[in-house]
Amino acid sequence: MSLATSAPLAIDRATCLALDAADPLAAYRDRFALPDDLVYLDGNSLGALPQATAAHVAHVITEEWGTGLIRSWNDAGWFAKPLVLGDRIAPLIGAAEGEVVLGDSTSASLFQVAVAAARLRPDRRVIVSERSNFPTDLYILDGVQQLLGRPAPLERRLIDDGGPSLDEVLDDDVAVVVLTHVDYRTGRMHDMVEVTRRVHSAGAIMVWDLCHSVGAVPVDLNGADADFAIGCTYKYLNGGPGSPSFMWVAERHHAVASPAVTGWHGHATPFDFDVEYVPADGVTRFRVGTPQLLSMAALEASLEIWGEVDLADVREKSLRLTELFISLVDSRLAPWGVEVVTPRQSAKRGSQVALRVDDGYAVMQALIERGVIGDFRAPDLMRFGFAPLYVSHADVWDAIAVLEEVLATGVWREPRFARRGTVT
Amino acid sequence: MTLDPHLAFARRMDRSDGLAHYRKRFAGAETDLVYFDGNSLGRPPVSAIERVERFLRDDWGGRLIRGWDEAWLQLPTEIGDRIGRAVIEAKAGQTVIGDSTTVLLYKLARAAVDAQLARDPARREIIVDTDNFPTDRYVLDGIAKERGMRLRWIEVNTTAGVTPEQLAEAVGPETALVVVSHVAYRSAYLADAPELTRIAHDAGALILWDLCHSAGSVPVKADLWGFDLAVGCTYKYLNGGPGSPAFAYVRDDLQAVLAQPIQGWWGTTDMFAMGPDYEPVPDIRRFLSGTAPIVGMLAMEETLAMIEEAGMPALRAKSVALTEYAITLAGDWLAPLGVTLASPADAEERGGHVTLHHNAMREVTARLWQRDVIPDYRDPGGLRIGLSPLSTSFEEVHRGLAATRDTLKTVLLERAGLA
Ligand SMILES: Cc1ncc(COP(=O)(O)O)c(C=O)c1O
Ligand SMILES: Cc1ncc(COP(=O)(O)O)c(C=O)c1O
Repeated sequence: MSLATSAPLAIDRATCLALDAADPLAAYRDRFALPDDLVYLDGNSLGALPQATAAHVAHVITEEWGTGLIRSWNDAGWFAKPLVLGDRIAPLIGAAEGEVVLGDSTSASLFQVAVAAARLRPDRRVIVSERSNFPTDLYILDGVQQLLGRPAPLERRLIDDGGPSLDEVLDDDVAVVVLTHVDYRTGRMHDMVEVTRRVHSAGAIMVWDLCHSVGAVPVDLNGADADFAIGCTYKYLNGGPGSPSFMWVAERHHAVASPAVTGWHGHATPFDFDVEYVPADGVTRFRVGTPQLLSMAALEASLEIWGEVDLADVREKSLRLTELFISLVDSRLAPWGVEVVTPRQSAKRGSQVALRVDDGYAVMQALIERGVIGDFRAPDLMRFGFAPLYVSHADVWDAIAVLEEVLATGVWREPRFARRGTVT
Repeated sequence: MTLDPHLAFARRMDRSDGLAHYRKRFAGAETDLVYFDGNSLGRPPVSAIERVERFLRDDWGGRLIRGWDEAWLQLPTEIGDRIGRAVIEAKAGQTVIGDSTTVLLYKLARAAVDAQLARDPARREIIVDTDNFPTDRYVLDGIAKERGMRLRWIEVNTTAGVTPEQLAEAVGPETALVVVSHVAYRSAYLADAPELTRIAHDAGALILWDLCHSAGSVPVKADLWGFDLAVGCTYKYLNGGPGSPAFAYVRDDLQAVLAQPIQGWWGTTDMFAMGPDYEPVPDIRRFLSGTAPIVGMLAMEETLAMIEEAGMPALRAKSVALTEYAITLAGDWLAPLGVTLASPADAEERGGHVTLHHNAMREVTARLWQRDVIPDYRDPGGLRIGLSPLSTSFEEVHRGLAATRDTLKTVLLERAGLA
């Protein structure tokens, strides 16, 4: 359904409540421990706490760690956990069993796969990314360029909405293209199939960053014939602050891929303590050191939920929420010059909406003080994420109402709202 | 029947042990289970359970995204500084917690060799010993390959470790980096850290210390001994929980000149400026890469509080007493069965665990586990007994070694066809 074209001005809070009543995902809200007085529109940055997490983490600490102790590496399946949980993420991203493994931070995982990707094209000297990519991706790639391009670093080419385009930078010197599927700021979504096809026709390797996609939009990595992917689990997957990232490596690369960091958990036989490094088969070779089991315990609890939901429902609701939000911005916030930066075409949109407004930082602080939590991304965007499992249509309504009040009263001009924290 | 004098001794020691009261602050210490593997995975502090629960409910659940600015963003350096102060004697601003030990090893080793090669392209050698922990060797092997360098191996006896003589012979004008474990994971050999550091420096090399088996067990004086770089686990003697993030130490004057290879946004001057170019902050945070794993960082703080209170010298004194006692029991009970000591006999040269050798130990370990006595096994024929000073009692050592004795006897009788 498209609210934007049905009757935008006729919407009121009762309409939103009716939409909530008919929402097949509405019951999931109760599976999360969200404070009642919050409208939480930042699940794209840090997902909400599932109700079941605390008990599961407590179980892992008291039983698996406290009672099982070292025996839990086998008995509680700790050693296999990065692969077992990887297999549970696989259906969310169109990956096959045995293609996904959990790692350290997203940054470290990108380093691990980007080096492996570039090593598959040793004769090429260019890495392509996007100017608007999340900074850590660009920084990590800079490190990869220096490592693999000695003496002179590999060349970086950045595509940009204002040009150059992907087609303009692709040539037979491009080794790897690393793109974030859903842009962290604007929510713009790339056409994974088409982009991958073009990258492949230039003979390059395609790496996707799925931080803002996994759990937000259906992804089909194998369907798109992509090569590598990485993603966060602390956003839409609700793994908790700093929960481990995942790496996906297409099966066809498993036997030849050579990741950057050769740690003991990526060894074929880690407990033989061999002198020689012999990489394990499969995606296991991308593992590095001892995995962070307590962070994984929290993720394991939330993946229970993700095992139940149908991503088609998630996508449908996500689009309903973002369309509702956009149409309410259009109908109610126009007087303050609020601009929707996110694509209006649903096929090009992830699960978030970015708004440009003067003094967006202060406006966002005023919103947060009123219990509507989004975030701000430099230089001028207010970002609202719509995690379909716990955001309701009424939340969207209420957020717009508060935003309207903040803008109408100008309360955001109070000096305290201009003070910057480290995290924006 | 008279009491076994060894048991009487253990009870006396427990009664006079100034650290004995810490034992009950660890989950499971009240059970009969004998835990000899705190050097691999420490027991959970009881208060950690509550701490994590509170964090989930109030901090993640209650503060959500605001938690980053309010508290969590500083945890890597805050906890790092606590480890610096209480555990490795490093002044503030030089220690940070972040990724796994292996990832930190990679980052620091790469940073070190890159800096050395830039300064002097002839420095193409990394020195490491043949019995260093596998991940150290594998990481260095990978770095040597990708940087066109050589590994120079120091052959060590698996019951000992790297000596100053061996290192002095190995270093030279081609040495870029030396990597040594302060306490060897197999033998518990305690390297002469100040002396090895001096030898490396005299040769113009940098040295990277692996403190996994010393942190929280053996006093370390990172600043005084002139360390360049160090990494260490927090899930062993610091009880951080399985896979809790490791720490890295980088001496302050090296921070601005070392560039680490996993250049992430957490290491930049202004992480929310979000510009396209990497600008590393000129302090310890530049060694961070991505979002820190917060849930896994909390438990270790409970142990750090205990160490701050008790002090490393007291922990070391108890650790020595525990290993001495284990060696005495092994001498009385196990030597007659053919068991030899695969750790240094001299406490000055020994860390916090003891390795006992017998070709039946693989089997013995498996059977001890069945009886709730948990050491671990390290080839060849090594029964490794880790004695975490805050959570282990002397009587526990007695129980565990008595069980080892009985089990080994049974195995040997069975082998001889007599059982
Ligand atoms: C000396 C040493 N270094 C490193 C490690 C482990 O590294 P990671 O935490 O990355 O698995 C260990 C673990 O036992 C160790 O003993
Ligand atoms: C596209 C993208 N990549 C990577 C990251 C984060 O990387 P890390 O988990 O290493 O901090 C984010 C976090 O917001 C992101 O949006």
